[in-house]
Amino acid sequence: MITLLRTAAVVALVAAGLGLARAGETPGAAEPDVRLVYESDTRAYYRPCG
Amino acid sequence: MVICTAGDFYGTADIFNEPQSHFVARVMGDLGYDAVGVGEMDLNFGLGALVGDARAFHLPVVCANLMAKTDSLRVRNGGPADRTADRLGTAFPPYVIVKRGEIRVGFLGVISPSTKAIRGIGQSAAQAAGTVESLTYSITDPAAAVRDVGPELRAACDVMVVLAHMSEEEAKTIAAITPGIDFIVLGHDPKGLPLGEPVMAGATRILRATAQGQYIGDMSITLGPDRRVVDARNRLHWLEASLPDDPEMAARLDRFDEDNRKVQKDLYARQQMAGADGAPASNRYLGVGTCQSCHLEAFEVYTQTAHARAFETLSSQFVHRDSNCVGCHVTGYGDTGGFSGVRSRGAMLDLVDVQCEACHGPGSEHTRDGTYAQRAVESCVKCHTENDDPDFDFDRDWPKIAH
Repeated sequence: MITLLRTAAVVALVAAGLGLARAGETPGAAEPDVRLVYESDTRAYYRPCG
Repeated sequence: MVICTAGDFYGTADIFNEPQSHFVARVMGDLGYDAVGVGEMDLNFGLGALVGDARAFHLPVVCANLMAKTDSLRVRNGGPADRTADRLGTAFPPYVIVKRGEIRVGFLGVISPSTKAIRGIGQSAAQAAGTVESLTYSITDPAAAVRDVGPELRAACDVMVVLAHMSEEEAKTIAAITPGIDFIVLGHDPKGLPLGEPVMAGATRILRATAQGQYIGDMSITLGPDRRVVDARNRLHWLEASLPDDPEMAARLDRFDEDNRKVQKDLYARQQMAGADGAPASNRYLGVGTCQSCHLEAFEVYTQTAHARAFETLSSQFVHRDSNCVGCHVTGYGDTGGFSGVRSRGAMLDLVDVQCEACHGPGSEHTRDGTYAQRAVESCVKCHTENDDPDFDFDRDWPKIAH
């Protein structure tokens, strides 16, 4: 369930055009035409069970 | 922005996980996912449960090789893919096209049968692969499905994405036989690490944000004048602890947790009451203490194994209340008279950890004809699954618990 909390946070950041820029990147420079936000496995738990 | 998943948003297949799984689906609908692929976990409660959530929460599920055997299990969204879905008999539209301004992003979904096939002892997922048949659905060859539907989608979109719940090798095969795929987003692969840079298969970029929702991928795509991809920059967002929670979602989760606690308590109570009408429950768990009285040597081996500390591995990480995890760390979870999670007053049984009956079955079914022992050999893969223990090897691992 932790995943949902943080997914929601990341989606909000990306939607606002903020993202989480890599070091050295200039926010706002060369805006892409599309941002594809993707998950490979959305299972409801974040940490492996043990 | 467009947002998608390659599947596996439902939890493991037991009744305690079902409320949580539907909640996740509801939230995904509210977050506005543009395309949702199907993973084998998403069929854990039957195709009907997934169809119900797709309809109720407006989830744009896409899959070109998941065939429904009745009309009531076919979801159509009024889009251009409906006609193709009817021709193929799929449960969901094979693809969806999402518009952002003038740009059309097409998502096509496929699932590998190997992800749903049930492995036997000593059998790899690939050996178990093939067409999967259930009473309500079948999973057919994903490569053939992409080859069939792919050109139709390619002609109708500017950026083509395949949501592929399968291994990297299977995805490379699909890329090789179907030209024009810009991106393949992988799901499922439990051994796969997150791909900081895409794996190239011809002109196709294969992406993976890795298992258990630990990363979110974020691909910035630039198109040329001919609306074809000319630049693609990938980054991965690690959902680590310093990332702040979304406050609205946190409040919503708190409300769900409170409601779900009552639901879980009721489920446990019903489970425990199943034999309380005077007649003995059909299956009774006796606890490792009873087993020990006759099988002392086996008990002594057991105390030295990881099975005897299985619950501690959860509690030490504070995930001992996560119903996705508990089932494989206790005895009889989900069964009448099995681990209840509730220590009722006077209860003598302590069914934490993976005790004898977790593998052999309830002690009330104990026989002396060899079948009770043999049953344990066949039960390993219920927990040592391709997803959760991809390196499990019965012959190599048996000596760790030999008794």
